[in-house]
Formats: sequence, C-alpha cells, structure tokens
Amino acid sequence: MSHKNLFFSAIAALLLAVGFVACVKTEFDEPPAGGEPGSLTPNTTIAQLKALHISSGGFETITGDLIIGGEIVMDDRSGNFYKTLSLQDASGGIDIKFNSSTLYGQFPIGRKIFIRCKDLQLTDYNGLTQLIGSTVTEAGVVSSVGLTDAQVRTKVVKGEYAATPLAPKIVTANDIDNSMLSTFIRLEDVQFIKADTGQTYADVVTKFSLNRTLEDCSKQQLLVRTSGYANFASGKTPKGKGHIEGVLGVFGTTYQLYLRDEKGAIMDSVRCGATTGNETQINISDLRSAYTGSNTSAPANRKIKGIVTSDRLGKNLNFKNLYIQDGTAAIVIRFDLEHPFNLGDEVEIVVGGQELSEFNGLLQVNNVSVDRAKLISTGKSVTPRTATVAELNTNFAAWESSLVKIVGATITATTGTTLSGSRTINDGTGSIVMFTQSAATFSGTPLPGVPVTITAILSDFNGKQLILRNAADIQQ
Amino acid sequence: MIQKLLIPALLLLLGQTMSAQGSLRGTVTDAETTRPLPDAAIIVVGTGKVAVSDNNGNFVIADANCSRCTLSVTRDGYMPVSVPVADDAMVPKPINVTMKRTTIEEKPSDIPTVTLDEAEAETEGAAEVANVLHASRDIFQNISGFGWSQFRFRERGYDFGLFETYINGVPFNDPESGGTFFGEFGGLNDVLRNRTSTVGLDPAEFAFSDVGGATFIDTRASVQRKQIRASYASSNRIYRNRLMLTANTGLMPGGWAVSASIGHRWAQEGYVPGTFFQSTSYFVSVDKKFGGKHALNLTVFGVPTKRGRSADSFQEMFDIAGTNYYNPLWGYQNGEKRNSQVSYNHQPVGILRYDWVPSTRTNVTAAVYAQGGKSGVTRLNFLNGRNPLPDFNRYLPSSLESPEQIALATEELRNNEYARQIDWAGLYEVNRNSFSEITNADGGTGTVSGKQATYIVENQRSDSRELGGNIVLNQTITPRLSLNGGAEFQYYTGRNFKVMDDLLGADYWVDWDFLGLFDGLTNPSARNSDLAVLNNTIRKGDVFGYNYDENIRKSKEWVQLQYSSGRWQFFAGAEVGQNQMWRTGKMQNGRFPTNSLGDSKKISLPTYGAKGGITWKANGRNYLYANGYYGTRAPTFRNSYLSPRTRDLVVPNLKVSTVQSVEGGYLLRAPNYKARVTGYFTKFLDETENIFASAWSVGRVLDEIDLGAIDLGDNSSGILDQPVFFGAAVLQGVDRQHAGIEAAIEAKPIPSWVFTAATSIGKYIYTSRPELFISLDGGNSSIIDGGTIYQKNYYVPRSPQKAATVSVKYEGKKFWFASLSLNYSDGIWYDFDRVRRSSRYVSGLTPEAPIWGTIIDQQKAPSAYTLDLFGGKSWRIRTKYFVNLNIGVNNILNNQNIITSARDSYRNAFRDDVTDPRFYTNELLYAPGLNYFASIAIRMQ
Repeated sequence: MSHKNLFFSAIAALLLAVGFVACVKTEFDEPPAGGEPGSLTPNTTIAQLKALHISSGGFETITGDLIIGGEIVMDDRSGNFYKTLSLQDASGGIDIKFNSSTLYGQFPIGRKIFIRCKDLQLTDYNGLTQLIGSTVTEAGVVSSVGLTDAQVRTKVVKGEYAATPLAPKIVTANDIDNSMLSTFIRLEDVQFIKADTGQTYADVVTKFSLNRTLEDCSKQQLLVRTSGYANFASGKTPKGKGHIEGVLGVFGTTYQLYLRDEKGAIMDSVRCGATTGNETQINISDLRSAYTGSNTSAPANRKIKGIVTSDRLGKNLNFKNLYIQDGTAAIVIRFDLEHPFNLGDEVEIVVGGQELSEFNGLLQVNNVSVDRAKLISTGKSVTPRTATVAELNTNFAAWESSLVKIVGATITATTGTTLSGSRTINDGTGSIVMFTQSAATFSGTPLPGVPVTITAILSDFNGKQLILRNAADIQQ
Repeated sequence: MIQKLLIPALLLLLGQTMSAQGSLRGTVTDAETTRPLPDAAIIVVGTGKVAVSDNNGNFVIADANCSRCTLSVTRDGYMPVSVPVADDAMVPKPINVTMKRTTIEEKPSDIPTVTLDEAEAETEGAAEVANVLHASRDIFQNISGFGWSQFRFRERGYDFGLFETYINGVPFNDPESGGTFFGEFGGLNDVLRNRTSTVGLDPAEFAFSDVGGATFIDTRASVQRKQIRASYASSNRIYRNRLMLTANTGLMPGGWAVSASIGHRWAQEGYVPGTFFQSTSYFVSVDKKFGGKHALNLTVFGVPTKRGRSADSFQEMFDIAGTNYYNPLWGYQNGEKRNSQVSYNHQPVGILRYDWVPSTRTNVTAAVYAQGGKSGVTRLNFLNGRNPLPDFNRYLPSSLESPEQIALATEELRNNEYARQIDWAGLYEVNRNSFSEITNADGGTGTVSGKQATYIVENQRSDSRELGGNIVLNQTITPRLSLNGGAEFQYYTGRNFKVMDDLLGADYWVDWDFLGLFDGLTNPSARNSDLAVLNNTIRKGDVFGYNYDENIRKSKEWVQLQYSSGRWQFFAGAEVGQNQMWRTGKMQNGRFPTNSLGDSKKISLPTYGAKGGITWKANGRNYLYANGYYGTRAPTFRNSYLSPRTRDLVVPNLKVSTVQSVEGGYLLRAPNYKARVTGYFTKFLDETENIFASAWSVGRVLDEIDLGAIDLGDNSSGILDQPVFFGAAVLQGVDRQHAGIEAAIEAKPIPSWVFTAATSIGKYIYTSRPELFISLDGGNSSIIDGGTIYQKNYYVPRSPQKAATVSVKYEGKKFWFASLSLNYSDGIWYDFDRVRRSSRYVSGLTPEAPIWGTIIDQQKAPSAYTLDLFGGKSWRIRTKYFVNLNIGVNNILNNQNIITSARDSYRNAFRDDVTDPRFYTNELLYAPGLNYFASIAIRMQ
C-alpha cells in the first residue's frame, strides 16, 4: 500500500512540477518608446569640423577625439537623398554619408545625434563637404565609402527627438552663401520660372536627377535639384508663387536646393506680377498720370484695356514692346518676354504693381509678364489723330505713344535713300524725326520723292520721334 | 520483413494442426514483468517445425515428435532463448519459456534526436520528420534511424513522401507535401509503441506501401500494455524537460479498453540559442469489442506545439559569433530573447476504426478520420525599411570593399551580440517614427492616419481540414495463398493566408506588396493584395497578403497476392490512384487580377503502380530475396502550382513522374546472428520540381534573354548592376537515380555482449538535364522558358550518401545495459543553385576561367564522426512497480563541426560582379555537439 501511495505521490509531484516550471515565456512587452536616448557633449562645432577639410576633392582623416552633435535636417525617407543625412548645429550643417540605405527608420529628420568623428574622414563632392567612413582605392582612383553599419554602431550615438524640429532659416536667393550649405533653409515669395512650371521634378523613367530653376520677383534664381528616385520625382512643379524649403547643396559654385519631400514647395499664390481677375480697369491716361517722374509702382489691382497699335510683324520695334491705346491715351508695355499680340488686337493688361518708368524718355509699363495680358478680341482699329507736325510738337506730352497721321509730309535724309534710320519729316508746319530700324520689314523701301500721308506712333527716344508700323503707313 | 510474411502463414499452419497428436505446448512470458508474450517464434531446432505464441503467450507445436530436442525461441525486442526439451513429449508438460528484453524498457526509438530540419522548413515547409519513428525491428533501420539521424540520414536518399505512415489504418502522410509530420504526435511515445514496418519494397498487409516502406501504428487501447506510467526526461536538445503520464486499462470485462496519455515537453531555450519549445500532448483511445468478431476503436489525439525556430546562416556569421549554432532568428527585447519565427501547430486527429474478423481467414479493418486545426509560423516582414534580419547578406562584413573596414566591422560584430541579433527595439522605434496618412484607405472609405508599420511580425498560416478513410481486407484463400487489398481516400483543404501577429508598436500596416509598388508606376492598384479592399489597413488579427485554399483529393485502390510454397515465397500487387487538385483564390491580387480569384481548373492525374517479389529460404536462417516496383505518381500541389499565393498558374505540361525500383538481398536470422545485405537501384523519371531559386541567378538569366527582371536600381537596394528576380522557378524533366547497398549485422558471440555494424553506401545522382521555367511575380505574367539546366551527374543533396556504425553493447544480468557506438557519415552534398548551371548564367565566361568552377562545381561537406553512449537500468519493486532509468549521450566528443545541411546561398554576399568569387556564398546548418537525453520512469502494472 505504501508503495502505491509512493507511486501516486510521485506522479502528483511530477504533475505539480509541470505546473510550476513548465511555463515557457513567449509573450513580450513593448520596448519603451523612443528607446534610451543617448547623449554626448560635443566638443566641436560642425563649422569647425568642416574647416578641417582643406584639400578640395581630397580626403582628411580625423585624428582627434572630435565629437559633433546636431539635429538631422535631411534624411532619405523621400528618396531624394540616398545613403546620406544632413546634420545641423548652430554653426552650420554637414552631409554625412552612410554605407547603407533606408536611414530614416533610425535617423529621421528631427532626431538629435552625436558623432565621434575620430577615424572618420572628410572630403567634398564638388564643393559640398561630407563626413565619410572610409575610402577605397580601385585602379588608382580613391572613392569614398559611407559609414559602415559597424561604424554607425560605434561612432553614432542616437539622441532624443526634438520636441519641435528645427525651423528653416528664411533667406533670399541673394543671401545664400557657403555657411548655409547642408542646412535647412526656406525661401519666401519664390516661383519656378515659367518654363519650369508644371514639369516633373526629375526624370522618373531614366531615373536621372533634374534641375528646376526657382526665381523670386526680382529674378534672383536658385536651382532645385531632385533625384529620379525621389518619391515625388514624378510630381509636377507648382505654377504659383510661394515658399520652398529644403537643404542647401552646391555643385562647384552653383547652389542647389534639395527638397525633403513634395510638401517642401508650397506655391499656390499669385505669381510675381500675376493677375487675379478682380482688377479694376482704369484709363491709360490715368495710368500715365500715376507716373511721378521717377520709377513708380503702378496702382495696385488695376488693369487697362486698349487696342494694339504696334505691329510686331513689321519688326520696327523691340519684340517685347507693345503700344496700346484707349480713348484717353496710349502707353508702351514692356513685356519680360516676346509677346504674341498683333496690330488691332484688343488686349487687357493687368498693370497693378508694375513698374512705371521712362526708357530714354518714353514712359512704359516695365517688365510685364506676358500672362498678365489677355486677348479680348482681334481686328479692331484705332483711328489715328490727324495733326500737323507743329501740333505734335506742342501736344507731345499728352499724345505720347498714340497713333497720329500727318498729311503732306516730305521725308528727307542726310544720307541714304531708304526709310532705314533717322529721317526728317516736314509738313510745312515744322519737322520731326522718324526712326526706322534696319530690321524692319520695310526698311529697304526707297524714300518717296513726293509728299505723302504718314500714319505713325508718336514715340520718344531721348527726343520725339515717329515710328512707322509697316509699309502701308506711307500713302501717296 | 520475413517475419511479417511468416506470421500469418504460421498462424494458418497452427490453425490446421491444432488438433494433431504428439504436440508440444507451453507458455512464453516476459522475465521482468511475468506477463505472457505473444508473437514469439518457437522453432524445434533441426526439424523446421515452428509455432507462434498467441495473445496469452501459449503455443502448441503439433507433431513435434521431439525427443531431447531443443526449442529456439525468438521474439523481436527480446533476447533469444534456447530451451532443451528433456523427454519425449508424447504426454508433454507445458514448457515455460521466459524471455528478457534486449533493451530495457525504453527503445532507442524512445530517445528522440534532434531531427528538426530547419533548412527543410525554410525551403519545403515544416517537414519535421523524425526518422526514429520509422525505426523498426529491422536491424538496419534500427541503426540508421537512430545513430544516423544526427547526420540527417535518409534511407536510400529518398524523399520523405516515399515512406508512408498509417495510424490505425488511415494514411497519415500529408497530402500537400507527401511527408509525415511526426511532430503531430510528438510526446506520445508511450502509446505509439505498437508498430509494424516494412523495409523498401517488402509487401505489407495494411497498405500498398511506397518504395521507401511503410509503418503501421496501432493505437488501440486493447493492445496497449495495462499499466500506469509516469516519466520525466531531461535533455538539452529541442526541449529541456519532458513529462509523460499514461494509463492503460488493458481489455476489461465487457470488452472495453481505455488508454490515455498526456505529456508536456518544454524548454525556455533549447540547444540552439533563442529557440524555445512548448508542447502539450494528449491522447485518448477507447476500444469496445463486440463478441469475438467486431471491435470499434476511437482514438483522439493532438499535440499543440509552439516553438521558436533556428535557421541556417553563413559561415562568416558562425565565425564571428564564435559558434556554429548562431541563430539569426532571435533578438533581445527588454533584455529577453525573442524569436521572430515562432511556429504553432495544433491539428488534432480523430480516428474511428472498425475491425471485423468474420472468420479465421478473413480480417477487415476500416477506418475514417478527420483532422484539422491551426498551423502557422511567424516571420518578420517589412515594407520600405531595412531588412530586419541580422545576417542579411549586405550586413556581412565581407560585403564591404576595404580590408580594413572588413576587419573593423568583423571586430565590432564579434564584440556586439546585439548587432548580431534582431534589433527589436530598433524595429519598434522605426515603426513609431513612421507616421503617415493613407488616403482612400480600406477600399476608399476614408483616410487612415497614424503610425504605419514598416516592420511587422506576420503569421503565415497553413491550416488544414482533412477527411479520409480506408478499408483493408486480409483474406486467406488457401493455406498458401493470401490476398490483401484495400481502398483509401483523403480529402484535403489547406487554407493558406497571413494574419497580422504583431504591429510592433505601429497602428496599422497597409496591405501593399513591394513588387506591386514597382508596378504601381503604371498601374496604381497593382500594389494591393486584394482589389476588393484597396489600400487595406491591417490591424492585429486581420487576414492579409494572400488567402487561398489548396484542394487535394486523393484516392487509391490496391490489391496484393502472397503465395508461399516450401522454400519459396512470392508476392505481387498493383494499385491505381486518382489525384485531383485545384486552387481556390479568396483575394483578387492587384498584380494578377484575372487569375487570382476563385476556383482554378481542376487538375486530374491518374497514377498506377505494380510491384512483386520473391524470397527463397535456403533454410530457416538464410534467405535470399528480390523485389521490384514500377509506378507513376502525381506531382504535389507545391510542385504543380507556381506562386499559388498570388495566382493560379500551373506548371506547363504537368504530368506524372515514373518510379522504377529493384532491390535484392540476403537475410540471416540465426539465434545469435542477424544480418541483412540489400542492394537497391531506383530511378525517378520526369519529375517536376518547384525550386527555390536565387533571385540573383534568375535575374541574370532573365537579363540574358532580355526579359525585364525588376531592376531595383541604385536607390532601393544598393549599387546593383544585376537585375533581381522575384517569382517562381520550376524544373521539368528531372531524372534521378538512387543506387546503393545497405548492410547490417548484429552478433552475440558471447553471452551478454552484442556487437553491431551497419553501413549504407549509396550514390544518388541526377541523370538528366531538365528545363527551367520561370514565372515572375511582377511585370511579365507569362511563363518564361529559362533554358536547360546542366545538372546531370550532380549529387542529390539533403542526405549523407555514405554512413556507417559500429557498436558494442553489454547487457547485464540485473536488467542493465550500456552501449557505445561510433558513427560515420560522408557524402552530404550541398544543395546547389540550379539556375547557375545554365548556359545563360555562365554566358561570357569560359571553362578556363578560375571562376568557372566556383560557379558550377557542387560542394561536399566534410565527413564526420560521432561517438554515442547509452545506458539504462530497470528495477522491480514488489511485483507491481518498476523504475526505469535511461541515459543517452550523443556526440560525446562534442564535435561541433558536423555540417548536416548546406546550400548555395540564395542571397549572395553583396557583390555586384558574378566573376568575383566572393559573390558565391553558402548557408550552413550544423549538428549539435554533445547532447544528452536522460529519463526516469515509474510504472505500475
């Protein structure tokens, strides 16, 4: 009996043992959020570190126990950077090259890191200073190798995440200098140049990087460079004006801005000088009278409407220039590019905020973007004011840029036998200069030997002058 | 095997001569337990007269006419006994024969060895096949199944599917992979002892056994020894502890018998670091006999098992870690080891068996079974992140260029265990940093924002529902002629899908596929796994990624005749089989919208087989035999469907393969000497093989035929000049030839000493040049002919081709024993990257180039030796109680350099030049060093 008890006691003991020790732990807690942020005290600023790189295109191994620290301002999440981070402290920024990709998982923008720089190397890529891990020489060519995983584990201390990520420094294209390289900057009131709007940031098919040109309203430019591997490479550059932010790079002497992602370019307001559609129409005479005698900004939110009196096809004027006239007066519009408007087109032009200035005495609305002009209709005409030369000379200030007709005018030249160049018009009441550019389609027309009727624009080039529009402006 | 033929024949003989005069009668009992011993063979030496003891241990030899004769009594598992019979036994006294067990209580088969084939699990699914359960009474199998299992020896180099397992009559091979998942009845050793096995092409009564042989496990309660048994075992292998408790009633009045067993095996950490094991086993078997002719049995068992896995890795990592048991699958989380690949399996089985014995000549066994449950393995997955596996090829120091940096990185990794293992905290951190907003999420129902997981642990499930049955008839037609026949069927549905297991601190995962993300440039919906729910955000417990059923229907009918005539025995059998399979897609994949959803076409492949054999008895001790087989078999589901996770795409010109096999040998069955020598020659022709192809190799081939493999380009995967391939690759027309000799001898020249020796010398080679077909997971959706693979005369990998053992054992008088074995293995050939052995891969290279051999030569693991020690003792306390102690120590010399599995790496070291020898790496797995298993059992009967 006692054996039996012993037997069953033994079995009971075994079962009990199962209850106590047979539990295998297979469930796990989550590790604490953010891990255990490390910290080091930097003894070197990034600017000081970068200053150690002295040989352009060469390599310097860092021998001292230098420690830098900063906040990551650019990572590879969007794919615009590859195996590279930009680190920034109060003194500046530096690009750090790694040997592995997908860094943003552990090194996202906004994380503070510290780097023990000893045994790492400095170099530059076409002027952009980089902190690298090592070099490798193949066929005599030394090329850089980013920090290996082992170097990352031994040299890089991951710190905490910034409560508020570093804000970009707001600069203008003019302000940009080398101290801003590899730092996070922002430009306000900029736009992609007309030709680069609505374009992909890069070539997603060939994966080539592309440059797009940014400008501010004063035409200061900066390149925006985007990798073909960026996840926004197929995105289109915005058409409006706004702000753009990214880290600054350089290639040789050309600065380049690298976007963190597509959200870095918010350009949805009106382009420099662009129209809103809500402008108030004013008379050209009112516009002219707004000119104060020196460069003046045209009244805001104003537009003019008139009929084109110049003939761009006659080529007797600069291709950016246009003469427009309404019932009150006329004025020259100086576009920033070649314009498409023809003689007799009715055109509406937003002039608000544009520069009113004199060019060799001729009042013009300067530097007008073509997209500020809107074609209303075609085939209109302006009846020229018939006047004597004496009347022209008297009323010149009011009649500047308007279309006039002189009857019984004799054209004489000191040299030459064609219309090309400066010619004198005399109708008996007085004389006035008429100037025809040699490029004009009709410049080879021989001077008529008899008095003629002339239709021309009353213009100014450091003195009054008439400008023909085409060969039909001279009638016998 | 001869015995299996012999016993029914002897029983017949017995029945006929029961009433004769001049007989000898007696009883055979177990010396230790004093219980009667059935199935002992009693031979009147010199007369050829034989008998077999019945269930009560009784035997009768009619017409013995024996005066001063000697009885030779043998029984498997017991030491043979010679019993002199003094008198002329015309009026005989019963002769009492007592026999002692050869090994005490715990068979070698009770000592599981580490046979978890991790490489196998990686490439072919978790075919955790323990050879030991196949170990049988055959002396060769006893040795090969035990001593050589540490080398992952496979008999004749055969695939696991060629060895069949039946439990209570029902087929237990997995219809999907063909193999037997022995893990499904691990820890139930106490109730799986009643086994019958055949070797090679020998005939079986219970099935038309496959060319590797078949094992029948009888779990009926009435055949379980009446006892209560509790045991504890300690080990340092897969598990550290095992407890088992078993109670069997034996046959009780009223015809009832009940057997129940529970077990628990566990280890917080097994032999390999980072592995854990947790398994509970349960088993109940109830018998009811109705008179003498009918019996019913219901058996239910299950083994819920959870296990942390290990994996093969690069020698570079083993060297850095300082151990060949480096396991890349785990990492520290909050200071504790967490394994990323955790398998869970619980697929309980219920078997209802009916036995009908209408007459002494007829025996019918019918059984139906149902099985179903969960099976899955977790894995890390990631999207837009760094590969989380610490031994990812590009993290290896050797992937660096400069020797100084390689040295520095090696040194750092050597001193930094955290860097060698999974950085769980880092994965959580990345997930916490990845806030994003998914517009048109969850089928366009809204915007989901939060932490989008970069890393997840997903559970890749392969649940099954299985139903089957079989019926077997054993009919004695005449005393010399018997008929066996049967029919069986298996209905199998494998449900394959992924479940989100752990978001690792993130809020959601988006069900996008990274290949689809590439296609997404032209087709934005391509990245979605399920077009029904675009931009599906996945939370814990959600099904995602893929979801499809494998449907398999198999049935088989067979018949076999056995004839014995004096010195000759013959058998002949034939079978026909029906195999049907199809895929049912439950998700419409964004990359394959037209052929991913719904039922695929059904594939039907009929098969047939025939076999026969002849045995010549020179006398009662010496036998010669020869067997042959010819048949066809259907390819498995996984070899038929290319990439079934995403689409219904069947291997072109799918057809059955052919197996031809002959074997012949010699058997010696003398009281103190047993031996077997068998030669075999088997051909496998026209096989279809879904290979796990190296992305780099296929990429190069695709590049050569100018078909766009995905060029991951410069940004997403490093500086890769090579295009990379994702998809499936299949070989068609694979021929193999397995030829060799198996030999074993067991000698007991002096009392108490047993000497055994065994060897298997084989040559398993490929004999054809198959055709490679490729299907891409992204982009081009047609099947691409990749050209010829030059693999003729390459060795078939995955098993040593040579093995040998010598062992000596001492059996003490007081029920103890000790044995020492020396094992040897050689000829483990590396699994090779088939695609490299193609003209397109080596295009531009010449055989003179030093790299040529590096690319195409097949490597071989070094030969290996182990020394094993076993011992045991049992004590009897009063009459009813027993204590058994067993200790086994494998690899006492602690050889930790035994490669058991190796392959050309599918993930080459990060090199961009195929002519750089460093491009070619291997992944290896090592056998454990010194390992032990010690058990103590107490038993009441």
